[in-house]
Amino acid sequence: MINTKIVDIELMEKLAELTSRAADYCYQCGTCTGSCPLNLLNPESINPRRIVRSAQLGLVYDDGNLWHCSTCGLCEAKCPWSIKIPDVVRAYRQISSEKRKIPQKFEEILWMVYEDGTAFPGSSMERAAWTEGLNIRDASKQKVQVLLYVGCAVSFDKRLQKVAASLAKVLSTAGVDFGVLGRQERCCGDVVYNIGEDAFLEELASQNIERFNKTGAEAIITISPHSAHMFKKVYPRYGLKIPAYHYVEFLNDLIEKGKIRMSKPLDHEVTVHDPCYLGRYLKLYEEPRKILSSIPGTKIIEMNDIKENAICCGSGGGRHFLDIHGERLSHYRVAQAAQTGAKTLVAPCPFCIQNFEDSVKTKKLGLYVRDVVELVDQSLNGEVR
Amino acid sequence: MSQEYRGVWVFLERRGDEVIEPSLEVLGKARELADRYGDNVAGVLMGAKNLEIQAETAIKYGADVVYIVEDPLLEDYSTIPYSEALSRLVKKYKPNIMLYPATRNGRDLAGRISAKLGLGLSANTVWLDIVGDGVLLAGVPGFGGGIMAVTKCLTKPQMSTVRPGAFSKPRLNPMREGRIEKVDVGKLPDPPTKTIEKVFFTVEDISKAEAIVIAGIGVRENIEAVKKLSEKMNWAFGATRPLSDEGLVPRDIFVGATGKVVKPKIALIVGASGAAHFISGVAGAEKIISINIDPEAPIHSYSDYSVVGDAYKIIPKLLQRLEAERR
Amino acid sequence: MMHIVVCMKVTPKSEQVKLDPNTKTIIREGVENEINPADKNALEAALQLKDKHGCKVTVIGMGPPMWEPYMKLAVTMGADDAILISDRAFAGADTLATSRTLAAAIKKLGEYDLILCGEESSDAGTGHVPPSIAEFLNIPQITFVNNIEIIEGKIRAKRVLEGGYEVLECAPPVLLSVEYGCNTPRFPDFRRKRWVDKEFKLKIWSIGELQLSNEEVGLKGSRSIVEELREMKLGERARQKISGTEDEIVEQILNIIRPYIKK
Repeated sequence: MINTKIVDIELMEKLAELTSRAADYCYQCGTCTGSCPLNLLNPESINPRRIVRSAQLGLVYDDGNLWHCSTCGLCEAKCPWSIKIPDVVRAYRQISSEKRKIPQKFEEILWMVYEDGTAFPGSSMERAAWTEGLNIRDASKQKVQVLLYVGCAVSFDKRLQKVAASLAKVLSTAGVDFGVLGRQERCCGDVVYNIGEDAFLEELASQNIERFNKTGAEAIITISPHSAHMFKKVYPRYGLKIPAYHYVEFLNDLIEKGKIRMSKPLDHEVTVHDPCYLGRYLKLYEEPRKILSSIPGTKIIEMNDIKENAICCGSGGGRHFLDIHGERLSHYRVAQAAQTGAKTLVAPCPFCIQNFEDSVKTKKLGLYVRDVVELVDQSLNGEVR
Repeated sequence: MSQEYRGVWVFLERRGDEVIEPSLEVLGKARELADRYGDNVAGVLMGAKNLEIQAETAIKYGADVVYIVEDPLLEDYSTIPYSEALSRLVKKYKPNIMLYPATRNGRDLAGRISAKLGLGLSANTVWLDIVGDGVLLAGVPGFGGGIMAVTKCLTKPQMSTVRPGAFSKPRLNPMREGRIEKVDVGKLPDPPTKTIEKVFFTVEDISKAEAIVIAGIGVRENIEAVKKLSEKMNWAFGATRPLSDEGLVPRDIFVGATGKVVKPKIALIVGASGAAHFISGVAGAEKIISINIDPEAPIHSYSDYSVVGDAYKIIPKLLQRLEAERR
Repeated sequence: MMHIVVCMKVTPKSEQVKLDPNTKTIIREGVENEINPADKNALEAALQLKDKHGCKVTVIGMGPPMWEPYMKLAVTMGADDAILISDRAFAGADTLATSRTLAAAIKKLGEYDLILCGEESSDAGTGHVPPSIAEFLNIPQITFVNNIEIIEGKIRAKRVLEGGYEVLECAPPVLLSVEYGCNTPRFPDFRRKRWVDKEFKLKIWSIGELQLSNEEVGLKGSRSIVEELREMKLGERARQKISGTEDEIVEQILNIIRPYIKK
């Protein structure tokens, strides 16, 4: 008896619709599977080629590793046709979601986002705790020109709160009229989007858009590339009209306009990691480098696999919340960073920073891990860290 | 004192041939309460047969009288026969106070009696007091243990379930004397449930431990090392709720408001942040020493000695030193 | 088709509740509510039985009108119907009055096979309501259950006790109280939510709909009262900091624990 699978035309058409026919051009060369960073460390973790093939034929893809994809997009970057493979992964996840079949851990995360407005454990009452003593405007109570969207990870993680504090200081120094939603801020929904829970995402996004509109803000800037991606690329279909930026775009603009003048030299050799959602998704490769180059005394030593080829830290696509065993991608990445001889690894993404800080500790490397704005803050306000 | 309702009664829950510790703890407290306003303490013991020895033991732990109800249907705890038997006893003898251990069976029974006889019932108390003429005040913890409500019953007998570990086990007085009275409560209804399977395993009850090491989520990557430390020192091993929720440790050993309440002489707490519901489970410890890498973790202010440090490094070193000292 | 009734309570999020030290009352302002976590497990257990055997699931709760979105959330998760028992007369009820009221509402529902409750609520945590409801309805009860099966029309439940468990079988109707955390409550179906928001009507029953008098419910129907609230002082500690190099710290820890080490 040959083991046959059943082709489901309805499924095929649904996947085609969800992905704007992404799988059409694939001729199964296998470059995607060959270049997937997950397979780099743990061979045969995931098979993007087979996922796209299943979509082409309308086959069910119910292998658990569907949920291990970090949606980093390196496969798409290497693909001869630039096929949007992460979209195919998300489409399959959406179909699973509709059938109410998602990993237990994700079910718990969704509840947390729904009930507590956060994807990271933390009470909504404590969401603005990091602003204490910093004199930051409350955008839920007064109109602001720029809305700084902080995000869940940054709000509740002590290490990441420093990034928010630095950014707030730099924006104040530059005279930007900005504020935060504080306790009113709710998860941007990146994890909901990546789980494929589109019905819940619609409600979440609509409610967020209403909150943003009430602030009167003319621009939204985010700390996380994942939030930036959501607001730039996903929220418009739910009605968001306010332009959104990742802070590196905004900061770069301020520096070019001369609104930020950094004077304290840092005498730093740094190496730059391009987070997947900042680089491949939003094409913001140059902005972090331009900012760093304008900090006196800073020299950039590039590591291997940068820009479109950057290797994922392992956390996108909801992976950050799963307990996956095996060698961590971030261990590999910090080793690459250390090889350059630079003292600081710059990664403008909260997930990347969490992973790299962990890996640097575990691998006992003498590397500092910093977000871009933390170095800007250091040079502007002169605090030694 | 009211002539109508007299006696501080304690439900003596059994497991096999022994009255369980939580019931004895309640018995000890009942003795103290009864002495306060001059009343008697009675134990209620139900089973199939041969209950005299346990009844004698209960007397030595403080009961003045033990009422025994013998019936094959009462061999093991079952809601319907037990609640029917107890309600008949209570209606006949009219105690002033009726206390139960807040074990699962105790709560199963107390809730049933409350509705059966229309009696107010305080729950899971950690504090009991008498005011006036035998009026019972009960302290009920709520909201994860941060707040205590002092409650009073408006009916008699005044009833309460008592949290295991809230009170200490009384001293056994081998000279103590009392009375055993066998009571015939009449025909009891058959249980509507059929027992398909029953499994009991001997689990070391950490609530009796004199010294304990407790692992928190901060050491989830190396729980074994913490457990090994407890074994090396011959201390009990416990964990916080998150570790139990994640299935990393058995449910029986988590310490907290909804888990085990421990009262050791010393507790070494490793990698726990010190959430209120955990603290209330270990607040009775005489000495608390904790290790947590986060300087702002609340546990530090709940400890007698605290270390801001990396447990993943410290525990192995402690193990090494202890190993060296043994030789 | 079996009819399962799930009793639900809406509770404040425990970690947010604080006591006002001056007025000795609970600070309710700004505190968010949730479906009592154990009741979510009870509902999930009912929905799993529905998935497997095709039962009808009705959710019932006694509370203020503010509970409406939570009752609807239960329907969004998959319950077929929801009824909120709401009336000023029910206010101030202790577990006895609450159970009596819920039992009366369940009686009014008509035929039912299984009643599921969470083992206890996150606020008061008494665990007394499920057995009291069962007694008022004069039906059997099995408490602290973490697994439920329907086999040839009978209910088989695994009851977890301290240091063991028992598997009991009972013919319906029977009431089960469900252990907190025994399953993963499914995330609500937001597609179904569109129907719930547009078309589902929550039934609200006041005291008039139940066969109860004012004396039997609420504060008047209670037989226990709260005299006062106190903050649980968890005892002052010495708070001595141990510091130094790693080896120095280890040394100091050893000195403290050494006297308690048993051979």
